[in-house]
This record gives sequence, C-alpha cells and structure tokens, in this order.
Amino acid sequence: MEDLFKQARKEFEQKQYTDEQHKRIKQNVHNALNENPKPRRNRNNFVYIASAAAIFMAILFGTSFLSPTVSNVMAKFPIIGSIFDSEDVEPVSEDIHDLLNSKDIKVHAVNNHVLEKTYEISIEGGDRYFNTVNEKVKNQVENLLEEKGLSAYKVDVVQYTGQDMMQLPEKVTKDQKMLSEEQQIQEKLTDMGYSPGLAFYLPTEEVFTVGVKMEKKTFQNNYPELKQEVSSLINSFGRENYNVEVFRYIEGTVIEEASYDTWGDMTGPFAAGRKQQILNSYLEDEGDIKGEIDFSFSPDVITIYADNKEMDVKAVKNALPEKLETVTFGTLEIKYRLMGGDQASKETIALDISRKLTVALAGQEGLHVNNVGANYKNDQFNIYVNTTLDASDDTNSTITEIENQITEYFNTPEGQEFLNNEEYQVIYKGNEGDPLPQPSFG
Amino acid sequence: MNEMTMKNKAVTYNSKENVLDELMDSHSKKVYLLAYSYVKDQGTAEDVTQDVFIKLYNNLSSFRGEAAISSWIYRITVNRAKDILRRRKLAHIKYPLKYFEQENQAESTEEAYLKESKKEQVLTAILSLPLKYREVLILHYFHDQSIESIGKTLDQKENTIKTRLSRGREKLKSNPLIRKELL
Repeated sequence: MEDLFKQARKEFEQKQYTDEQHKRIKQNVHNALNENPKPRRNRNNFVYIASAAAIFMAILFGTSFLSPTVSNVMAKFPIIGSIFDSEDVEPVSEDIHDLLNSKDIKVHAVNNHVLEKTYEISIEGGDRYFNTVNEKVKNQVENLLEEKGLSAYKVDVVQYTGQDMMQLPEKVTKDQKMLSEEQQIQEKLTDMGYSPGLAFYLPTEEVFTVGVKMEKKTFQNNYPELKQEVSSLINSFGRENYNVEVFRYIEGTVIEEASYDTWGDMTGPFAAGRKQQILNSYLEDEGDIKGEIDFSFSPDVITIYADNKEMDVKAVKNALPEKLETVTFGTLEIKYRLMGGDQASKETIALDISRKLTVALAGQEGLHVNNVGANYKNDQFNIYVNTTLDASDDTNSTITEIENQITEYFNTPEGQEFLNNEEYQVIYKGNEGDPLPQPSFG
Repeated sequence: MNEMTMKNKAVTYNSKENVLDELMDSHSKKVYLLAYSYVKDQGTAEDVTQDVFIKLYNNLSSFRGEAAISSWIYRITVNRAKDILRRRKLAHIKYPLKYFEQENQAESTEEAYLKESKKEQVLTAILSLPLKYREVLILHYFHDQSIESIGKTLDQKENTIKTRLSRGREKLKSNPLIRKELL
C-alpha cells in the first residue's frame, strides 16, 4: 500500500505542476501585491458563485431570525443541524465509530437497522475482551445518542464472530486437468475461428468465463450460438454443472487487466466486481460514454450508479440492457435503476432526502416516526412520513413538530440544493398506513 | 530551506518580496498540489495558490516562533480550498447549468490527462475518495505530514485523523484496480 501511495505521489508531482504554472503564479502574486491588474483565471465563475452565496445567506439569515418556530426547533433538537450538515449518508454511525475508536475499542462494524431503530455494534476480540467492554460500549453509545437527541434508538452490542462477508473467498488452485482443459478449449475456439482474449474456469462459482475479440455487431448476432458452442465444449469435459459467461473482449480497455489471478477470488458476493469490470470495458468502448459505473444488488434489482459528472446517463441507460444480457447475472431479474450522472437524478435526490430524514426523525423519542420514504412524481418531491401514531388520537402537535423539522432541513444548504426550487409535499401516515391530517399551524 | 533559516531570513531581510519569492519557490508546488487535491481544477488550484501567498505576504511579520511556516501554509491552503468548495456547492443552487458546463469542460481535460496510465488511475482513485478521507491521505502520504500535524491543519482530533486514514485506506482497497495492484 505504501508503495502505491509513493507511485501515485510521484505521478501527481511530476505531471501536475509545470514551470510555466510556477512562473504564472509568482507573476500573479507580485502583480496583485503591486496592485496591478491580475490576469486571473475563471473570474467569471466567482462572480456567479459570490452572487449565489449572497442570495443564499440572505435566505438563511432571514429564516433564522424571523421564524421563532424554526429557531426553537434548532435549539431543541441539535441533532437536526449536525445530521443535515454532514456529507455522510449516515453520520451517526460515523460518530459512533469515532467515539469508540477514540476509546481504543476494537470496533468491527456499526450498523443502523432503521426499521428496528437499533444501532448494532460488533466488537472484535475474544470472549474475555467482549465481556469486559460490552457494557461500557453500550453505555457510551447510549450517552452519545442521548446527547444527540436520538434516544429512540436502541444499542445492541454483539461479538464479531469472524465470519466476515467482506472477506475475499479463497482462490482455488486449479489442478493440471482443469488447466489443460482450459488450454484445449482456447485452442478449439481458435480453430472455430474465434479469437479468445481469455477463457478459464472460476471453480468457486462454477462459471466458465470466455471473452472473445469480436466486432460489436458480429458479437451481438453470434452471441447465442457462441454461448452454446462454449457450453458444448465444457460439457465434453464433463463440466455440466458449470455456467457459461460469454462476453466481448475489447482490447485497450480495463478488461485487459483480467486474468484468473485477478478474478479467481471475485466470486460469491464479489462476483459483482468481475461483472462490473466487463460492463465498464463495454462502456469504455462506447465513444460517447465516459467514466465508470458501479452497481449493487438487492434481491431483484440491480442499482447502477453513474455518479460521475462526465457520465451521459441517458447514453448508459440506452446502452446497458443489451450488454447486461451478455454478462451472467444468475437468476436475477434485472430491473435496474440508474442513479447519479451529470445532474443527480430526482430519484437519487429523493433517496438521499429520505435517508437523512429517517436517521434524524426516527431517532427522536416523542416524534413516533418509523421511517421516511420519498419519491419524485407529478413535478414534486413526495415525502412519506410513516409513524406509529393512531389516527383517532390528537396528532396535531406531533405532526407540527415533524413538519417544522422537515422545513428546517429544506432551509439548510443541502436541503436547498436538493430541492433546487422544486416543490415538495409531506404526507403523514399512521400506524395502519392510513393518512393522518396535515398539521394546522394555529 | 529549513523553517528556522526561513524564519531568520524573515527577520533579517528587509525585503519581504525576496522572502516571498523564496517561499514561493520552496512551497508553491506543495500548495498547488494540495489545493488541486481539493478543487480538482487547474485554474482554481492556481487561484488558491496565489491567494495563499498573498495572504502569507501580508502576514509575514506576524509569524510567531512556534508556528512553522509550512504548517501555517497548509492550514491556510486547506481553509481556502474548502471555502471554494463550499462556494461551489452554493453556486449549484442558483446557477447549476452554467456552472456545470464550465466545470465539466475543466474536468474533461483533467480527466483525459489523468487517465493515461495505470499509475494515474491509482491517483485518480485517491482523488476520487470522499473529501474527509482524501485530505488526510494526501496530507499524510503526499505531504509527509504527521498525524498530529494533520490534526492541527484540519482542526480535528488525532484519533479522528487515525480513523480516517485507516478507513480511507480500506476504501481504496475496495477498488478493484487498487486491490489488483496490491496483490
């Protein structure tokens, strides 16, 4: 790791700073000090930036000074400020990590189980260590949550058992027979007129992966036939239990880094890394798609993150379906969602809004909030606050309090940026999922 | 030039410009690179660098013995760069399209430049980390700053810096390219 940083540093220093820049900076500094006109760059940007900042500050100060309700909410619930100001999606977990690390506790993970309103802290070490620190950790985290006004969250301290899902699987050392088969399959594919870039078994996952060098259209036309041919070849070696993954091997892309050395342990939960590399090589080949994609799986959805300002989200959305077909995703039904891109999609924003509001509101005793959902429909953000309130009770004061805090959120810089002048509405739901009356500010 | 020599020069030389020139020669590259790691745009990083040295010039006579000039420079650079980032964020509120167009243009050039080799991709991975991890890794590994010194520069506790260094490294390791490099 240290060497990697040294290399990157060298690269950074060599390429980024030229003598010309150095001379320009020195000249500009002297000009500025002598009050000569400065040939500065990007000045136009900063005129806009300064204007926007001034407008925003006016809104912010206006709100804080003129609305006693909002000020009261801020004073009563300091958590709201600290959560909403944080860049982290789940800032409370980060704070718990920092607290426990500062006490030299061996924390393995901090997980927020939102629906159970529980922070689960797993601790590394043997039984004796766990028994020594268990209560201490629980008390300290409970105190932290209390200080933040998040006393509704329970704290569950568990011992880390050593079964880490993030541990890379063992790479299987292939026997001579398997290596020989790979060699034969490559030769047979070559005899059949194909040009394999790679072809090998992934025994842990029982996959035979083949990348063939081929023009895009030819590949698309021949894909089913090619897959069938590869299946027949591996079946001839009695490997019927293996699935076949056939993809287009595009030279000059990230796929050239692929080999059994790098993919051998990218199996099980890490298979996504391999598939991601294939998809990224495809996207790299598209002239109009730059940047990399990342994705995650839930039981039936692949969520694709194109969180890169360069990424042409529409182009990715158009290009991916046919590409996904050529990468084995098992029995997953692919209903992918594309997020991020040049301007964050409304869906991404809605997700971020709901996460932040959930952590802050569900943790406050007395607000009776289970969780918060959000979507963007009918030209506005719709925010659903799911509560444990009974519709037959007087819910107005609680709903008003929640509403005030949501208003407060949308007055923070992040809230303003997310909304971007769009409208939003808040829908409150009771313990039966039934709608609750809107707050009346009287 | 070491800090003590520089300090003595600051006292004995009458010409502040000479001292400034020497400081720019010895520190401007570091300042620029640090600023770039925050703003990721050449023009803006140059602006930050210029601002830092103008501020340094105006404060040259007020350096106290215990404050090493380079620590001061790092702190001012970080603060100025973060100030720019905050302004950028606010700018998105009112002028998203115009700003993004300009930003994209700058980043496209930078990205093309950075993506030439594997080493550069490693660098890109570091520069793509979330800010709080990126800044501690850059200060530690690219500027040889100690944990204590980073804590002072960023106004954070040493334990927080340690945690962020550790998590930053973990995040990098989860990148397939970095993982491959480590094998």
